[in-house]
Amino acid sequence: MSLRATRFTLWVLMFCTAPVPYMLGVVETAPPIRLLLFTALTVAVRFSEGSGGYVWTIFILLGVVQIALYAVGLYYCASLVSRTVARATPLRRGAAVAAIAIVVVVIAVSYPIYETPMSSQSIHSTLLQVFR
Amino acid sequence: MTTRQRFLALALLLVLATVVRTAAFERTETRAACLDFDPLRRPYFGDLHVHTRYSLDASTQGTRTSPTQAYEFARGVPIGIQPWGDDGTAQRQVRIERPLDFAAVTDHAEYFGETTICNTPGMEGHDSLMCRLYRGWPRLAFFLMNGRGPQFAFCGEDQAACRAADALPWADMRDAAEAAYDRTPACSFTTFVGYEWTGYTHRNVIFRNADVPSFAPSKIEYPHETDLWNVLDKSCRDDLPSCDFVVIPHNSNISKSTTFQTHNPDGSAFSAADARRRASNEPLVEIMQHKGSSECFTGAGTADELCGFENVPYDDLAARFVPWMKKPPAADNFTRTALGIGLLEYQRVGANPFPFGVIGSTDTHLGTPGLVDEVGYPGHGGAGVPLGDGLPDVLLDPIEYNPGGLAVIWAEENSRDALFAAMQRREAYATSGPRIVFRLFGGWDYPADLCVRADLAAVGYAGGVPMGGNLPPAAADRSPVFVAQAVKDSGDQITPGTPLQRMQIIKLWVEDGSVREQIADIAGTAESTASVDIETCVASHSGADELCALWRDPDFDASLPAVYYGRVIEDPSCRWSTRACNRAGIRCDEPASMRRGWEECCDESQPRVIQERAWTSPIWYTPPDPP
Repeated sequence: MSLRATRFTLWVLMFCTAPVPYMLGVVETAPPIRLLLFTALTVAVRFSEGSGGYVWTIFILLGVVQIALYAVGLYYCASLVSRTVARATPLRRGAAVAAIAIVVVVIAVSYPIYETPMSSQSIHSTLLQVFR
Repeated sequence: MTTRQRFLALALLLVLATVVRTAAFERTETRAACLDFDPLRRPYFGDLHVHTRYSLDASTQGTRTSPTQAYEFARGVPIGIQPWGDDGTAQRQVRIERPLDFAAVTDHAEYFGETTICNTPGMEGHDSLMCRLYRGWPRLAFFLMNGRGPQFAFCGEDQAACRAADALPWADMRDAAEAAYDRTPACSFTTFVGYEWTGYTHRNVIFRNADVPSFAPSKIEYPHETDLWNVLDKSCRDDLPSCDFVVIPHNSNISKSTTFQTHNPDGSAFSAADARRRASNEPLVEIMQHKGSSECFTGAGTADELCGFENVPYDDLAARFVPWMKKPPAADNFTRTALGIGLLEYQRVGANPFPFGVIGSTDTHLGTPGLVDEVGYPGHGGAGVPLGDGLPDVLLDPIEYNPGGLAVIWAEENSRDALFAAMQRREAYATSGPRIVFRLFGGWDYPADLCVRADLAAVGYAGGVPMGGNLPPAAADRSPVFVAQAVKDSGDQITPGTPLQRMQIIKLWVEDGSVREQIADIAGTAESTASVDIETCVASHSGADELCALWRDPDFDASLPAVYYGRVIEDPSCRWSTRACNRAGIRCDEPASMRRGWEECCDESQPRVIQERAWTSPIWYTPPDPP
């Protein structure tokens, strides 16, 4: 696995699993991809329902700004992590990334590590419940 | 008492009974006469603030209770509430041990139509993206729909589909109220048609009888309270022969100082006519409910330590969701301050805009009127913890919220006309949940032994005015005298009643252009030995089953306007949150017992015990010479 691929994979992994705080009506601690989902839904409904109140604009702005911040911040974190395995062979690097991904996903799927008050189903959610 | 005095008292009672029976209230509806009619009036307990599945916020939290089910619940029938199983069965059952005497379902009129369309397959707009979002991500949809305003594409051209759909829940609410109203001579249960008009200032509209407008005017079309009064005047009082209404503001505590304003929407200060209009349309204020007490706030214009009761520590409901918006509420969010402002306004323009009485209610968003018990409290929804198809292992309501209160109305019988007339004359009071019986009369010359006499009520009415009234002109060189009588809640099988610790009269008056406050303990004692073990909630009481006292104002000045109200306080008891934390096995001295979602159990700033209470509507004194 190339260094660039390592960095990109780690970044995707973090974007999809890292519990980060964000504000969209309420404060949640969940992966940025959940915020991306909410923002995309808001934009889609905004276009289907026509122009609307300022709350929708605030929600979209909040979503876009926070997504951008977390995308950049997590990319920086992924770069730092990938540097620690820069000297490893591509095969070992790939194995390390795969191991990290498996451990992280297993934990995220198995334990309700996310705070999701926006959900009507569970205030504490696992990774799968985040997208339910 | 001599034979002659007894005879005179009996004659007085008979005369009073005859006069009151024939003239106490206007009858506007056709119904069987109530077998139970008391000219000296009885306290009827009820809830005038109830949300069901027709409210956007309730429905997006999983509430499926219909108005019909809400009224059944008020009469003691158990109902199922969320979370729901995959087969649609409720995972929780709730009921009240003691039925209420009256209730009103007051769903938010805003988004009646939108909510109905999104919940009803086959209706135009049901398959829109907005409605799919509502069903799939209801919490997100709640914020977006509330922040949207009235223009939705799925409502069709000119919003016609949604406005047509508005009529469906309104019709069901009216039908449910009619079906649940006991028109037999038993008069066991009374309902009122009502709804909530919701913006920064929140108000419930309660109609007198079944003669109500064909639509529920909402904040979207009628954004200011004066718009609301205008449209209700036209659509109710002008257009319908026996229609009448009262408007009851609530949650002034979190209204960002907007509930008790003394200016019109255009910024002009209230004239005497404006003040009188406000006073006549809004004779009551909800002082106690799920989202806090609105009487007063320690440190906000008062040093009264008993104001520290079920206070929500912020002044804007939005701060519940946005932590950095939290700031302590200002004094003018509270009813005590507003009563004082009313006196100042009287001096300024010659009319008091805030001569209001008080009630309590729940503001339940589960469709569960009267569910006020601290024991086993399941939360009330609304802006609380969302529940869909799972019961989370957390405190089920924000810790600053509470089970809410009850409205108590002194009326001759349990009928719409009798209760409504009592609301208009403000002969009503609020409790924080317990069924305390509380009377207050004010006059100039009550006998010193009134508290031990069986004819207290008869003498109270004959010699003065009840709560909500205005003292008759001052007798020369006399101070007003008040008689207050409170009887503790007799309790039920789950919760025995708690004795009463002390009773107070709170006086406000205007002197040198500013409002002064006096709090007099008139019965019971502040030096109570009552205590509560917060780990077991076992209480040791020292209070009384009944308190009664006569109190003559020692500092009365007949040239100054004044207002007086009563407050009675129970011995301490465990708060709902303490009971829930104990039941969950949380022990603050054992960190291993702590679980996520229960951290607030050990927050030292949160009260563990409460002193439940009741507040009377005030009695006013107005100097004979207008300003």
